[in-house]
Amino acid sequence: MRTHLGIAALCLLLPLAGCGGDAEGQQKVDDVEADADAAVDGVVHDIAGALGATFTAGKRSFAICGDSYAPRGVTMRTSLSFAASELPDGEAIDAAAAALESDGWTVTRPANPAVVEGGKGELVVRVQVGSLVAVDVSSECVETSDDVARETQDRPVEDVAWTE
Amino acid sequence: MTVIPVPPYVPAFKEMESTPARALTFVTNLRAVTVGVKDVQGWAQGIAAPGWEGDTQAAHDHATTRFAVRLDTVEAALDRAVTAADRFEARLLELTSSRGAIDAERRSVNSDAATLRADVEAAGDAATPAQIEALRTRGERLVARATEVTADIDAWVVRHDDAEADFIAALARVDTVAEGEVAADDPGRVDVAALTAALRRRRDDPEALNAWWASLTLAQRQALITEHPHLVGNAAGIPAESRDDANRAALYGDLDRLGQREQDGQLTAAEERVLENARHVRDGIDRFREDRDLDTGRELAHLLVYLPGAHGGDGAVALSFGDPDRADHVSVNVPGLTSEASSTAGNLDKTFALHQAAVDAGNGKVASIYWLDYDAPSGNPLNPFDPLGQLDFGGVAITAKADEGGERFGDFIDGLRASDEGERAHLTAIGHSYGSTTVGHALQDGLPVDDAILIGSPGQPEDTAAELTGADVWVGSKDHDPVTLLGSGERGGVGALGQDPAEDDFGGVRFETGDGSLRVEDLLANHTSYFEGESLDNMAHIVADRDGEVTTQPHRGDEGGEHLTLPELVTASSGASAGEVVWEHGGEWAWERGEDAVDIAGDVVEWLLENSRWGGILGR
Repeated sequence: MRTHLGIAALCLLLPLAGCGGDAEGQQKVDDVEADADAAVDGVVHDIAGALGATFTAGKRSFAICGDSYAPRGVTMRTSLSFAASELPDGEAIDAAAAALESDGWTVTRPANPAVVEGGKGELVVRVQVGSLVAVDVSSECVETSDDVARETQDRPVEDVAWTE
Repeated sequence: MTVIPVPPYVPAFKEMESTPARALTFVTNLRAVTVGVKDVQGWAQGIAAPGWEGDTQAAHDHATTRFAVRLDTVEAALDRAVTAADRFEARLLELTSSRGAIDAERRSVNSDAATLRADVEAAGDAATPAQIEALRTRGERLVARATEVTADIDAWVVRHDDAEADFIAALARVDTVAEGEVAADDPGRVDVAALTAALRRRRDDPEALNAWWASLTLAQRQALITEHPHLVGNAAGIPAESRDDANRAALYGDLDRLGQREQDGQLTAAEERVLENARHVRDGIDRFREDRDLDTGRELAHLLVYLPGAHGGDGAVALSFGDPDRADHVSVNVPGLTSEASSTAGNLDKTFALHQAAVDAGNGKVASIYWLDYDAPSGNPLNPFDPLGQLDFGGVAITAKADEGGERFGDFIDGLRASDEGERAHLTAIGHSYGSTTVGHALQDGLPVDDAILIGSPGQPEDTAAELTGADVWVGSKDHDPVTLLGSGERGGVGALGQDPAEDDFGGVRFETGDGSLRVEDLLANHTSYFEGESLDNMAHIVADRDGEVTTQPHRGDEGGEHLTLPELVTASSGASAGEVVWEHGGEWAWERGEDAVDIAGDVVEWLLENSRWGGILGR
């Protein structure tokens, strides 16, 4: 037992030695991706509807949270672009905030009146209006093994499907 | 009957099929082709017959000369096409910007008209004369605004259609061989050799270079960009948009040329490294391809430095989110150990997170730059088994790299100051880890910034902030980030890289970051998580010049600033983690054998001290 405990402690002391669980980390990444898909299909559609904004493009990418010698995990970013809303900017932000709130997101209004953010679980939805509407669905750091973090970051940038 | 004038709904107007982003993609590809043609043309002009003599040599020279002349025709045509495309892109940027302003007014008029209609209906027949007069006045103003915005829309549509027509006509003027020959023989054709010499003479004077660049015609600039993309793209003082144009041309030119050589199995080892770095930079840009400047519609990313073969093959890259020449607030983020072109993706996301947070602060336009154009030391500071190898904290080279990096960083910042347009931008230098030491060396040499943020710093080259710089110095330092305990101070570390800036005596402002987790497996996470949470928010407020919003925490050595030394942190964190492991293996067993766990943790710490670089750091 003492040997096992020693190995476990050593594993903890050398986080870069790859002792983390790949399957567990991969599952976490999959879960965050599924949550982001649900957000796109749900609240982001609600926001687009409320703003009368037409979808133009969507991408998803991952990046390691830490440094190359200690990746720690990944953050996920899904960015979506829409043509400008028919509403004036202030009303568009109010409408986006209302859509977020009604879907159970905790809304934050930063000092910039052209931006609103909503948080739920590990996800943040950020809406910025201007000559177009930019919506980000991003995650906090999803902790994984180093291998899973690097492999996930290396995934090519993916197009995000948008169904009307 | 009283009539209140209410303007009719002003309908949405023409969406732009040709967007600045699409134009940028088009002109970038066109430039990359032109760069390739010019490379081949230069090769054809300079190629010598391999030891041939007589008729053979004459035939060879004749063939290569004819080839070069034919390519020159193509080159002249491409130069004109690139100039036309660049002009078209500039017009689209202006059109997008003005469209945004006109459309905002259109939407506002429609919204106000809807409100007025509702107010008129609500007032009904019971409205007093004063109310009626007020409604009438609102209506008349709205009608005037609607008339004006409708005229603006009509004028905009004309300008938009003219821009497209002009571009198509310009391309049509060089779409035959005969027209290419005319372009090549044009006595007014740009003399690129003379321009190149003039550029090289001003390379060490960013202000003079910027003024000279502004005096050039569009055709002259484009000819220089396609002739010497690396030279133009990395010259301090050239405006950010032109540097981006040149560096993208160089990047996609490299990808085409080296990609072909790879397919042909002709890549040298050095070229292989360049191609790999080029692909990392391309992938970094691709991650933000859909992000736009919401004012102009242009791609948000600007490639300000692209040197894929620099620094012994590690490569150099700087990428800005937003146009630094037109921003009110500019930040430049310098990464630390092991950073190279291959680590661009993760570092860009951190810079982008800071960019969005600074935009959220709502204090004007923001540009946020990731800068890696120095030879950051390789090696993992904490793990002796990492394939990156060990890092020698005691070596002389480690200070020299920060010093040399600081000089290069200073040159870059001088370039930003020189190309800055309008009111002088509020500029913040940010250094993380070893990058903070590099920034410190630049500050020591008089870096012209307003604020400096030092995060996770292993040391600064001066004992106090006042000796370091006249700028405001901000320090983000988690007590459980082991790298921050390396600097010298009252309870500090070996101080190989200098003073701990979180110390009270240093005189910086220590902003709130939290201490980080005490578990040993989280120590590195503490060091790599400054671009998150409260730490990120504080940095964003500094960058956006909202200093009053920054929250602080006590300095080390000040009341409330008690902290562990590095050996104490290693011991305490090992104990904390071992305790957790024991608990996870069964609380009752752990309770009974807790002493064993502490012993084991102690053994492991002892092992680390004996067998890893910690021993070197701690002097064991």
